Amino acid sequence: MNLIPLFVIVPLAGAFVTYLVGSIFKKIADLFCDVLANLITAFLFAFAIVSLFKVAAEKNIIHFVGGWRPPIGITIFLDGAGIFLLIVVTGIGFLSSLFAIDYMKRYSAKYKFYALLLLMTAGMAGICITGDLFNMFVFIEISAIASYALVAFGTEHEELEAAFKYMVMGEIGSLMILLSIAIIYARTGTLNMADISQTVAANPERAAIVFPSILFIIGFAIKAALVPFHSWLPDAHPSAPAPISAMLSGVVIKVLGVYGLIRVFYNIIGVTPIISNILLVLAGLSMIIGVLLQLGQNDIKRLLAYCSISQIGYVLLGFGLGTPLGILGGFFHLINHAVFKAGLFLTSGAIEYATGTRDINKLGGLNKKMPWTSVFWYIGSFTASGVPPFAGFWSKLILIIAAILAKSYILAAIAAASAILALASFIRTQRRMLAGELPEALTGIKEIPLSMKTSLAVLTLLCIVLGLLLLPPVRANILDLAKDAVMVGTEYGRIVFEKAGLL
Amino acid sequence: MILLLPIILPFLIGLLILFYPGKELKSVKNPIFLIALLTMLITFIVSIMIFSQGRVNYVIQVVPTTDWSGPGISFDLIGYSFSNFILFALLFFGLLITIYSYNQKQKNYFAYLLMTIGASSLAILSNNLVVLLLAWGGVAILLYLLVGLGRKGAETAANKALVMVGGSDVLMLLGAAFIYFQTGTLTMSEIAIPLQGALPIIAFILLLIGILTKAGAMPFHSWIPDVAEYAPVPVLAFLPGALDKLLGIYLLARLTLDLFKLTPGSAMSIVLMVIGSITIVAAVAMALFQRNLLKFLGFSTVSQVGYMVLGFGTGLTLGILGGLFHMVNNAIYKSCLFLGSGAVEERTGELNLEKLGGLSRLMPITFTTFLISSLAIAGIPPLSGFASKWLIYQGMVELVKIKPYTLIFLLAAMFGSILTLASYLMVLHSIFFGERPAEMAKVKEVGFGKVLPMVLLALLSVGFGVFAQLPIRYWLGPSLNIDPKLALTSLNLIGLWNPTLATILILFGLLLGFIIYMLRRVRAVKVSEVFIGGETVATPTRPGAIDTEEAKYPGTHFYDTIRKVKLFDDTYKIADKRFFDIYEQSRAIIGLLARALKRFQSGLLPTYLGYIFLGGLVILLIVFLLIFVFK
Repeated sequence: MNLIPLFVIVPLAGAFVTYLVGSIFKKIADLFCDVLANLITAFLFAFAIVSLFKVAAEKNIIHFVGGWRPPIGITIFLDGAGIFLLIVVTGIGFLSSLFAIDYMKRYSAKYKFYALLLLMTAGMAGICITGDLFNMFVFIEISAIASYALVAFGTEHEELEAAFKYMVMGEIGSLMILLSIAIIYARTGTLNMADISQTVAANPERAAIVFPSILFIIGFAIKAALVPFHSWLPDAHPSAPAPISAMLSGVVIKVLGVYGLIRVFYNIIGVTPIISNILLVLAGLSMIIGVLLQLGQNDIKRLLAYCSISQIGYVLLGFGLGTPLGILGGFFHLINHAVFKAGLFLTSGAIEYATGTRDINKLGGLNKKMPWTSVFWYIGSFTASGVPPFAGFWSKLILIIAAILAKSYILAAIAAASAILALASFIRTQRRMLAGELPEALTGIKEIPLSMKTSLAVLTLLCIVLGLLLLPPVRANILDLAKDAVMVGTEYGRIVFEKAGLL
Repeated sequence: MILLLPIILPFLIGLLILFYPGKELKSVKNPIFLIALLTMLITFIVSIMIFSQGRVNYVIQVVPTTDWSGPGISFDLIGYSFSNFILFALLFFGLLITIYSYNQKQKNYFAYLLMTIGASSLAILSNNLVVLLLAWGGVAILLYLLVGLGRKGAETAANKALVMVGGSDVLMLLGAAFIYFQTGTLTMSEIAIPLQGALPIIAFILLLIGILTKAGAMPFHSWIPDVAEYAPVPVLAFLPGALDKLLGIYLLARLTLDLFKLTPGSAMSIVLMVIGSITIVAAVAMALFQRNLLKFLGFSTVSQVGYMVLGFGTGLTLGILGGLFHMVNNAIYKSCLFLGSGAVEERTGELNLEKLGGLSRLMPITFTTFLISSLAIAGIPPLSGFASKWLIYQGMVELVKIKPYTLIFLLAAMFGSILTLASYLMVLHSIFFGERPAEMAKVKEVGFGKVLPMVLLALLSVGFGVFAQLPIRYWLGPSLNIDPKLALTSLNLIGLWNPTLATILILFGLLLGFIIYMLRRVRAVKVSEVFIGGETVATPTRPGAIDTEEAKYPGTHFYDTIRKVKLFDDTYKIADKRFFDIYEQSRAIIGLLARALKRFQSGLLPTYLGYIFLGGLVILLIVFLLIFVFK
């Protein structure tokens, strides 16, 4: 009996139950939801780790929904890349829901929050495990719609406006993807990824998939917030509650955008030099423009949102290069960015929780009153700017070396320049916010409660130790696994069919 | 294994101190200071053992090359004559600074200091570029933390230092990537690239920027004067004074001697010499008009780096030897000067040169050590600064024989030397001579823990000058793999100058003068009018009175006449506006760019949708053109 579908079923059921219990039993709603949601995310994370061992042993896990084999039924296929993303999704999801126990006391209707969070997690888990293109679209929509609602969760003027913009632009992206899927279905007569992959590979005339390729790029680029398709992100990510910002920046843009791109292009329709060059240009633009916009931001969450645009550029740089080292670096930076950006967003939430503001001009001297939070911020921002020995340094090192080995000197230079500018921006922020004099209005602030501290401490620890992912024994079972899954390219179809016993 | 000790021991102890409860240290005799001192002593002894052991290698393969497409990363430490010597010097200075810091109140100060020493040991011993970058970045963060402990306003200076040093670290990473691209290895001892073609030169320049930023040569120097103004004094003596030079110049030596082959008179050699000579003159010219003692020393430090860069730029044995020797000497006397300033500040609470004066009687030891170090930095024979500058000049003269136009660099260096002397006369006068402010009448000499390092350093300045052959023959020559015989002959080449003999002659001359003076017992003293190089002096209001404001002539005003020349004054005014500060300039340009970009982020949904469709259209057009038209 294969349990892989539980990744979707459990959070989906959890979302249903939390909403039901929350809206009927108002008295115990908060406590019940706290416990249930955390149990579910913890279970998912543990299950992801267990599955990782299985994937490491067997290379991939396959499941046929309803027993229908491809190309007729929906295939569920979990390979190295999928499990890598799943670990990131469930890990950050768990830490965010842990953080939310205390943080979300500021909002009413906590159960709605958990229901949406679980729904979003279910959608992302579905994207990671599905082997069906239309299925993927449905899961993208599930998590996207949950995230629109979560951005608007505060229901203040700004949040609603941001959510509206996010929704309009996000749906344009979804439409592009849907249109592209429709065209591909019209051309190939199938929606099964493996089957499409085989059909496309068998057909030497590639002109038919040029237009859908471009639509895919635009659609996923909107989801991943690549420049110039990024403009929804700086409004949407800061408006959400901090745990959701952490999820949105940490995982959503990667699963919906980057993972979609690599799955579709590497495994299904194949990468051509033109496509990889387009990806590289988008990556370069995102890296430098994101970090330039990040400079001089006074709202810490907005600053982090711009930083996400820049960092997603680094991730895409690795995948755009397409060399084994580049792809490995891309995955490596993906997990690092998820960890440090989630950490930084949660820290910004902690600061807002304690002081009521996130304007660095109104803050100052926090390292005296909130020593833990300050340490979390210091380490997170050093990781983000690629200062050794923290994790961000290692992935940037790999990416820059990969870029130079691929003779993309300009991109390597852009990557280096963006790292310097990111450092400058973060240092300025922490000087204003953590050092200096404490404003009089903030003399009564206190350190954050335990659940928030725990989740931050874990993320901070990860910022320090994630560099160890490069060690050969660890790398072979995590990063290499993900890299190999991408590097098989359009062989993907054959692998799935072989596994299904059809070849 | 022994190579691990100087890295891990201080780092771990530092980390432990960080977790010691409480922030301020209560009594003078606190356990933290003793622990730090003991750690440093042990580490210092270990470094002597390493030094006497000769070549040691320690390698752990962390990421083997064979099993993936990326670079092999190994934790590769190498202790050979050169790195052992630098390690020894580093720990020697570290020990002195620890002694000097006996009454430091902040706990974190000791923690960061020890961790800095651990990280710097790693930087010196590392034989892998990635490990080097790791250590380099670690030192940058610790510098940031240490400077942040200083006086009010230190955060801004710490900020600038980290952005510049950390930023240059990223450029070095880029350089390392280029090196890996060309050689397929990151192990430093396996790299030897001829400096020809675009890629090697790009890699060289990228690494050079990192080094120059660390060592503080123009135009990447600007963090040093700022840090000097705000950081705690022992930190200054250790970091910009000694450690940053040790690390920076050590790496410069490895860069020009091992990693790349710098040939005398090549384009890069000229670039180095241009940087060196501009740094020498421009920085000391800035120093002339500083009013803050520490900031003055900061600029002076920058100027001295110019000599080292110049020496290495020659690419000739003599010049490199001189540059290296100058690095050691500079670390010695510059630390001593910083420590002396710290002593003055501790007793008077004042760093403004205009408000100091007449301390020579009250703080005799500080005065003497400061005087010796000042003369040494100015290159007065027979002190150490003279010996090393002499070697550098000799190297340059050799080069002038090949490339006559390099004479201009030699002249610049000599001119800079004159200005250095001038600037230190000003400072000596301002602090120790002249009018003593009334509130400083009861100033006393500093405690033993502070006096000891200063005296030791001053003695070294004398010793390395008088017996200049010894360090060159036994430490520096072997470090650079120069055959002892060759080192000796090259020493003999140094004109007619024999340091020991010359010292004896100078001493003999002094003695003779003294005897003559004693014999004649001057009877009548001739009184003449005050003459200060043609400057007009305000006449005292009453005869013999020197206590009025007009009659004072503070040393800081010695050179104000220079500023009366319009060209110089304009230049200084531009410099005061930080026109020559690469940090401020880039900040302005990038700020402009960022503001321009921010205009596009209008917040209006229709505009945003416009970007999406425009972007999509552009991609579509390009792809269709590429596929269907140009195919």
